Amino acid sequence: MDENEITQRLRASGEEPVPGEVRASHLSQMHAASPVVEKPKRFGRLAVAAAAFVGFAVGSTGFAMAGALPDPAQQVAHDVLAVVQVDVENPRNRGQCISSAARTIEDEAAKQAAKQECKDRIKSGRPDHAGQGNGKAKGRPDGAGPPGGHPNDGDPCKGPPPWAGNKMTPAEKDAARAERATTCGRDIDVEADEPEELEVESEELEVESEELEVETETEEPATEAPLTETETETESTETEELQTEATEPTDQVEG
Amino acid sequence: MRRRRGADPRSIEGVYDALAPAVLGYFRSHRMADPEGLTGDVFVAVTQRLASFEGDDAALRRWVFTIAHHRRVDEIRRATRQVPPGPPSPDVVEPEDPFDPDLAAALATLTDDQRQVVVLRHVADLSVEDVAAITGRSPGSVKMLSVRGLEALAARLSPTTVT
Repeated sequence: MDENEITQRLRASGEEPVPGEVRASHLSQMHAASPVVEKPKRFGRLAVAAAAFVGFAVGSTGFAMAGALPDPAQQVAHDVLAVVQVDVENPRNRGQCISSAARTIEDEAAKQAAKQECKDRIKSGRPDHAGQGNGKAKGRPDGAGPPGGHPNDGDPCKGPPPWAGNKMTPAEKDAARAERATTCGRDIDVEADEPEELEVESEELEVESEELEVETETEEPATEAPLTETETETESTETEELQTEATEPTDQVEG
Repeated sequence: MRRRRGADPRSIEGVYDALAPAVLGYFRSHRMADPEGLTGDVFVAVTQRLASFEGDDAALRRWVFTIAHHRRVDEIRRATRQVPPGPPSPDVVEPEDPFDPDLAAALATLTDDQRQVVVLRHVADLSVEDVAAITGRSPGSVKMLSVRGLEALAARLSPTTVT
């Protein structure tokens, strides 16, 4: 018998089919032993967290773009997104504007119109009473006054005096002060005459500085050790500072 | 690789149908005590690790016969530790072995190394390199053992040989 025949017989012995009952027994053992394969999770924990973050960022940006966030959150979104050149609505105390309109306007239709105007005005960045005054709503330095005017409108005795913040000549200021004093009485006049108080204060400071100069001059150098050059300089510097203090308020008033 | 029709080649049944006959023949060639049981053990182990296996059909065959080889070695060690059983009772009838009895007798005359290589090379149908990898020998050694084993089998199975 040659080697080829032997290899064929050996190969044939490895191809003998497994008896049916043995095969069934083996397969049942194998199925029993097969590990329970866990269904792989579709999304990992990190993916869920990333999706949540992206959803939050997109959602909050969307709300911010629509101007639908509360004022503080809208302000934060406006400030943060301005860094990346994304323009979202600046709240500018939109809520105050709307609530003020709701408080002060009785007619429902007018109230709704005023609220809408609040939103439109803030959305467009247009100040209250566009083209008038300094761009701020009357009675509210932040421009949060309701559309159609503040309750103080028409009362010249409330709010800042007419010369405040305006460039008026001294003659015009005097005239405005006199008019306000006539209209509103002494209280308003006193309130408006703050520059005069400053003048009085500066005069007092001048007097004090003069007294200090006198004291510096009347010191007796003979009773003490002779001053060194540095000490003398220090004293003279102090005197100069005092003089400067005395003159500053006057400068402010003059300015 | 011969497969049963309709079986997924990488399913448990597909792998079993493709390789179980060769594994059973491998254990029968070595005259193991319970070749069917050992074959079942091998495929249970294969089932437990099949999900993590990566490779082609040749690699799968080599992997399965590596498991079978280790299982045979374990079984031999376990058998040598046990007390040898007494003589079989005359009432017990041995089941008929479907394996070629002449071939089995001839294989029994080979040395263990020759039989190991010849069976893996020709019954399991593995390449020289695969046999070398499984047995931990060099390919040259595998070739030499295979040639000498076949020569011994030829001499044993030759019709001129009179027992």
